[in-house]
Amino acid sequence: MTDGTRSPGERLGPPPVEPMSDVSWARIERGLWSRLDAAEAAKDTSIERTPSRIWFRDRRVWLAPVLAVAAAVLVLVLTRDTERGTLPATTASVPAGLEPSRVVTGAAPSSVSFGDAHIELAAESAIVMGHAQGAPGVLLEQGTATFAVAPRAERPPFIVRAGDTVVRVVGTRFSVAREEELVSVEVAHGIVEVQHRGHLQRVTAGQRWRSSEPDRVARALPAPRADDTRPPGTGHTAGDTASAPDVDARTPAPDGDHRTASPDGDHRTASPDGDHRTAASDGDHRTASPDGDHRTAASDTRPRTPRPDRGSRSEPPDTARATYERLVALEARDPERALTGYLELSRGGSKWAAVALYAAGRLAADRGDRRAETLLTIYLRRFPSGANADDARNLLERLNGAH
Amino acid sequence: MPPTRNRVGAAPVTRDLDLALARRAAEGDRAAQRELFLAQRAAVHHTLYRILGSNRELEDLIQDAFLAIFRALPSFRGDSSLTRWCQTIATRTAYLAISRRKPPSIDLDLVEDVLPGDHDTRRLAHVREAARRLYAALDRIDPKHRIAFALAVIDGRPLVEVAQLTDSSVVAVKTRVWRARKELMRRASRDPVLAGYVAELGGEEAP
Repeated sequence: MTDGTRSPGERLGPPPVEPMSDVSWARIERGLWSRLDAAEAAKDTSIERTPSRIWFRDRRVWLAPVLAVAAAVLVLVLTRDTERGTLPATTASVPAGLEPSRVVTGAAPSSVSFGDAHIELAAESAIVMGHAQGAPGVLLEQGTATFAVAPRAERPPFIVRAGDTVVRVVGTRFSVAREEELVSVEVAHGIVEVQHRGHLQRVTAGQRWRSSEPDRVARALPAPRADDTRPPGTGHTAGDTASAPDVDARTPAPDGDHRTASPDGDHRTASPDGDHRTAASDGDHRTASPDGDHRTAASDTRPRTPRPDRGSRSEPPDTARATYERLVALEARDPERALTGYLELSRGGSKWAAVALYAAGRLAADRGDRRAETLLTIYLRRFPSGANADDARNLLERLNGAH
Repeated sequence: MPPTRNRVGAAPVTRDLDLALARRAAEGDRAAQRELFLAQRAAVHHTLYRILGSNRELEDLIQDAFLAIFRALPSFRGDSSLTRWCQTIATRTAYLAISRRKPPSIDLDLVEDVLPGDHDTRRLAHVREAARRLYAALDRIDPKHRIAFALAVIDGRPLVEVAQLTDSSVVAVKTRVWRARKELMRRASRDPVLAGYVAELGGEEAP
């Protein structure tokens, strides 16, 4: 490359367009749908009502004492923060402009300043920061973010959104974690108001709130590690197969019977139309036929293939069905990949998404994977009257009882 | 340099199908939105890559472009193909991104003259190095001129197509390409590699 003259045969031509990796495309798609969801949610008039308006409209009776408590906490938080100088050094600074900014962390955690707030992002997390009606706001797309927010006394409210959950900050340090549509809020000190689908809860220092139980505020768990992407108490991030330390990789039986014994009974995927077969005593957890397959569970060791819901007569796409069947077969050889496959299938729009999601929860439960609770909760949220709803509830109860 | 009209992003569906898909996606049908995304992502990526020169910032920009596409879908009338329409929005997205960002504070330094490897490897390395210098220089010129040059000269699209993508007249595009080339040559006066590459890429002569 010594000069710019080249013979026609040596011409360089235009630079090649380098393709993006599948991982990049997956990340783009995930972020796109997440942002699209957020945009659609913003159109919802109930969401457009600012939390403060809701507060005034619906909770007038509580207004005076809550404001008094909030003011007291504000003073306390302000004093403590000032004394300790608690805000850690930032690694990036984002001006509180009007254009939304998106911050995504990779394998390492990071931190960012946004106006008068300091945000610590766990690994594999993503937030969008911007302003709505003059108020700073953060949309948590995924992962865990810990916020240190200056008291809002004369400032506009600081709002954090995560799916259908809106957290209004009075002035505090708290974290919000999101896994799919399951959100949890944990307050280190100070006070926040959490709005979730018509529920409004105040969460104070040392308390934790979860969208799975929107009316309940519980004692906070021990503080999560900075590099832990899991929502507190909700298990591993869906799809995170490498970080589950408690995965029970059981070896299938040598005779080809690949059923994995459940520690606490039968976890079969039930029929969407009411096939509630008696649980086999050996812990049979095979997937039952969605349309009323009444085969005796104990006599047949093959994983069953569900068929489309009777409520919807059209046949589901063959590809989804074939995928599901492959995953059922894969459970014995490579349960982790099967679980990942179920999760992939559950994200699609096919009729098999519900079956796949429950299968993922059931498989995770069988393997002692902590994602089970999250997956089953998401299943019940998405398909509250789904074919496996009762089974999912029962399984969740067992899991909670085991804890 | 062959035009890319049929090389990239040719829609696999007819215009009626384009319209039907756009309508379903505009109504919020997530399956249709995903279908549209999968069908158009290569064309959108190609357009953005040609204008920006690398994949470095493209993840966010592709998202921005598709958000803009989904927002604008109700206005899609099928006057052009869905692919061309998406590329137009991608071009606009790139323009906004380039307009917002500040130019780099330092100039490129020359790199070693001789690169190791066989002929193909060396050639690819030369192309990449020349392209890196080219886009570094493009970072410093007017965004409209840059986009016109990138699409018409680097990507080899016909001026008419560039005019459609940038919502401009052919004459305006021709002028922008000429100005971009002139500015690049001025900046390349001390960089023979860049000068040679710009000259090699050709482009429109003075309007």
